[in-house]
Amino acid sequence: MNKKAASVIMITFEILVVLLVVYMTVSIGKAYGESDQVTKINAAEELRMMIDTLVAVPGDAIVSYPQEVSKFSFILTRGSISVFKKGEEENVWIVTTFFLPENYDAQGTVLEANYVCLEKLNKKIILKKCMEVADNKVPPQLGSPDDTGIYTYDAGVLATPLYYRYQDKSWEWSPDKSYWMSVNTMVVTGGKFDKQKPAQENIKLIRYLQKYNPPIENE
Amino acid sequence: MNKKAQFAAARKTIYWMIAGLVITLVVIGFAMVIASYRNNLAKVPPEIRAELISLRFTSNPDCFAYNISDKVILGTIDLVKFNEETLLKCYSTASAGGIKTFNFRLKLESSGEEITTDKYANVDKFTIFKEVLVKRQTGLFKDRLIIYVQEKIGT
Repeated sequence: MNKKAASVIMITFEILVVLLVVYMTVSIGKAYGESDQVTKINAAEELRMMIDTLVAVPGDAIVSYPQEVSKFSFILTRGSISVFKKGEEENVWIVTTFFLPENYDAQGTVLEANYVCLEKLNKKIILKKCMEVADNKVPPQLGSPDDTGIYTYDAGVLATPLYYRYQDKSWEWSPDKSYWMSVNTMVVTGGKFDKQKPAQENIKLIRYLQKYNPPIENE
Repeated sequence: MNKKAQFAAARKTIYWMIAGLVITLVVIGFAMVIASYRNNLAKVPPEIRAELISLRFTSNPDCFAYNISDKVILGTIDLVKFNEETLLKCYSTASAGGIKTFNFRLKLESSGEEITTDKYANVDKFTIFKEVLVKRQTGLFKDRLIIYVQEKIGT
C-alpha cells in the first residue's frame, strides 16, 4: 500500500472516531437532560418536607402540591413516600423516608393525577388526588397576585419564572413584566427574551388560560 | 513494507490503543460528572430538613407543646413533657436504622435541661435556635431552645 492511501485511511478512521465520541457524549447529555429523575427526586423531597410541616400543624389541615404531576404515581406509607412512573421497575423508584410521632399514620396512593394533596385528619396524613380546579377558576399554581395584580409562576430551576396578569377581561403573560403577550401567542415579542418560547410547564398554563379565560373577581 | 513503514504502523497501533482507552475513560468520566451535577440539582440543604422536622417540638402537643385540652399554644415547651420518653414518641428513627438520619440534642438555655434522641452520638453538624415559652408550675417563662443537629453517620 502506498503512503498516500495509508494516510487517507488513517484520516478517515480518525474522523470516524471523533464523530463517534461526539455522538456518545451528546447521547449521554441528552439522556440525562431528558430524564425525569430530578423531577421525581424533587417531588419526593418536597412531599416529605410537606409531611414534616403537617406534623407540626396542630389540628387538621390540607395542602396541595403546586406542581403538575400527571406523569408520576405516588405511594405514601407510614414511613416513606415513593415516586415512580407507571411500568417502571421498583429499583428505579425514588423513595424518601420520614418519621411520624407515635399514634400517627400516613397512607394513600395516587396514580397519574394532575395534582396531589396531603390532608391531615386527626393524626392521619392522607395522600390523595386534589379536587379538579373548576374551569372558571384561576389555577392554584399561580398563587396569589402581588399588589399590582401580577401573578408569578416559577416552573423550576431550569425555567425562567413567568408573570401573568388579567387585563381587559383576558390574560396576558410576560417573562420580564415589561413586554406583555396575549395568551393567544406562545412567543415573546420584545425585550431580552425576544422570539423565545416559554418552558413546557408554562406553555400548559398559557393554553389553560387561553382555553378557559378564568375571570378575576373585582378586576 | 520497509522497516520505516512497519515502525510507523506499529506506532499508530499503539497510539490508538492508548487513545481508545483514554477516550473511554473520558466518556465515562463525563457521564459521572453529569450524574453528579444532576444529583446536586435535587439536593435539599440539611438545615432546611432539620428545621422542618424540629417544628414539631414546639407546635405539636404530642411532642412538647403546651396545650389546654384541645387548644395548643404554639412556640411553647411544657416542662412536664420535656423528657426523652416523649422525645422518642415524637421523633423515632428506629425504622431508618437510627444513625442514618437526623438525631437531635435539645437543650433549654436558661435551665440547662437537656434531652437527646436515642441514636445521638455527639457529632453535631449545626445548631438551630428557637425562642420559646417554657411552661413551669408557676407559669410561662421565656427561654431559648437550642437544637444540636447530628446528620447521617456512615453510608
